[in-house]
Amino acid sequence: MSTQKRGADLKGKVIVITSGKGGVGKTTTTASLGAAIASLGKTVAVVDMDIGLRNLDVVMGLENRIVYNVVDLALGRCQVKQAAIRDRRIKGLYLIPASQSDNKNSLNTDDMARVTKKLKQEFDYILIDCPAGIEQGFENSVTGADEAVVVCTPEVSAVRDADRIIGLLYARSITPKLIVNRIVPQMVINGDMLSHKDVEDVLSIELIGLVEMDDRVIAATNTGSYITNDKTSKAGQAYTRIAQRMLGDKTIPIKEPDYDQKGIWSKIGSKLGLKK
Amino acid sequence: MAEKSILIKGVGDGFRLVIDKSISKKKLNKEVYKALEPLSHLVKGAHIYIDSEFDNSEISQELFPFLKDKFSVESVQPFKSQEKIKADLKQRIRTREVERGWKNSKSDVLLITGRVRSGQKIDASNHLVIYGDVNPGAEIIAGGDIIILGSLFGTAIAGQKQNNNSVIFALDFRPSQIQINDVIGVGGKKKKTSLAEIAFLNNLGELEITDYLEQNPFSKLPWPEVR
Repeated sequence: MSTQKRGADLKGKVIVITSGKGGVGKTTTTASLGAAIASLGKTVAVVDMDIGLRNLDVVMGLENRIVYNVVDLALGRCQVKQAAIRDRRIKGLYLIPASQSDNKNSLNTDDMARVTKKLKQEFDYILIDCPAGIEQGFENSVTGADEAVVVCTPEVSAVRDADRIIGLLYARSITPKLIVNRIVPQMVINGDMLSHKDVEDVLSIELIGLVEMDDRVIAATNTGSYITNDKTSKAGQAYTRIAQRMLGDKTIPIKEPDYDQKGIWSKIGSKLGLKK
Repeated sequence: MAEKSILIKGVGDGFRLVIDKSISKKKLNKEVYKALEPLSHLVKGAHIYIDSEFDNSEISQELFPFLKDKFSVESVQPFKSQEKIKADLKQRIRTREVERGWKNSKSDVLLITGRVRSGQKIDASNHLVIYGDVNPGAEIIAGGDIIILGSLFGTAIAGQKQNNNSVIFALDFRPSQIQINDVIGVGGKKKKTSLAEIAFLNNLGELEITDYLEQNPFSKLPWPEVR
């Protein structure tokens, strides 16, 4: 468990990861960023706020070790030590899972304010996996948040919803930052997909990362492992860079996806696993 | 009874002399003297207003020394009816507005800056000007005109309610839907290039959208007017 507990001195930073639209990669992003930040030496608690539809635990491969969940913690039925599951693979990484039997109305914003306050005393970073939507689940997740990360895929519907969420976050005086997820460079070249610049123009908030579409992410989430551990994965590398930026490193430039035309031989080569 | 060719009416601070057109100019002085003589004690120190078919200013100037001498009148001026006064005033106002400035003119305009995001709604009672962009999914409503100095992607509803003269203008005109009064226009395919366009209702009551720099509906107005 985390070493320094300084009474009233709240050291932790609460970052909510939200999007508005479902299925854009919030949970994957939360797990990956949690793993990356912990690997950089910080203590991280990732909190699943998708009460009733929990999946952060599955994505992290920790579903068999759940005893207490965030609702128990919020309603005072257990301590932080009991609810937070320590990930044995990465030092400093803890999961506070959602409850599967309740729903999002089981908690209110006051409960969440108490929870985040408790967590801030124990961890350096608290990443909150916000559920899709703008109702109670969202309200609960943004309570007590210091910062926000908006995940958006380069799709018109995702941009529309992200825009709404950004408006709601600004109304709470939280300045969100943007991650554009699941970019397929070939589709952007063909004009079938929005470029990240189009997304950036409409949403008009600070960009902290671009993550390319990577099939290995799906494999990783299915097996409960972290894409950031795969050093060859572009998505994994992107998440690692984003984590460094979130920790304050301003020197890393945002790596744009390769928008050049790939010839047929290099395509075959990449299929065979040959590096470029 | 002899026809009275000069009528005397009391007005304000003096007398109004209504001079019939049958009186020739030569006889004018004599007739005026004859008319005013019985009232000489009242006319002393009063203002005389001349209301005739002739040029009132000219007559006034001619009569003044004569009447001052005979009756000690204060002044002799051309008579201005209320309508004429108002007409003159309007004439003066128009020249004043064009020449001197618009200090007393006001328009009811809500001027805002910033990006209007999806799900947000701006409702102005009269005109609305936005320095910024309007994202798709945003709704802006105005009682008068809508002017967007930026990109318009959302829904713009102008002329609420019953105002057919309202216009919708944007530097980058690509709305999802527009409405002027109760006429609704559906946005077309997304254009790649931005074009400054203006939407208005034409003579047939149809929505028309034109390239603003090429042809705008206000270019035909002869002088500036408050809107």
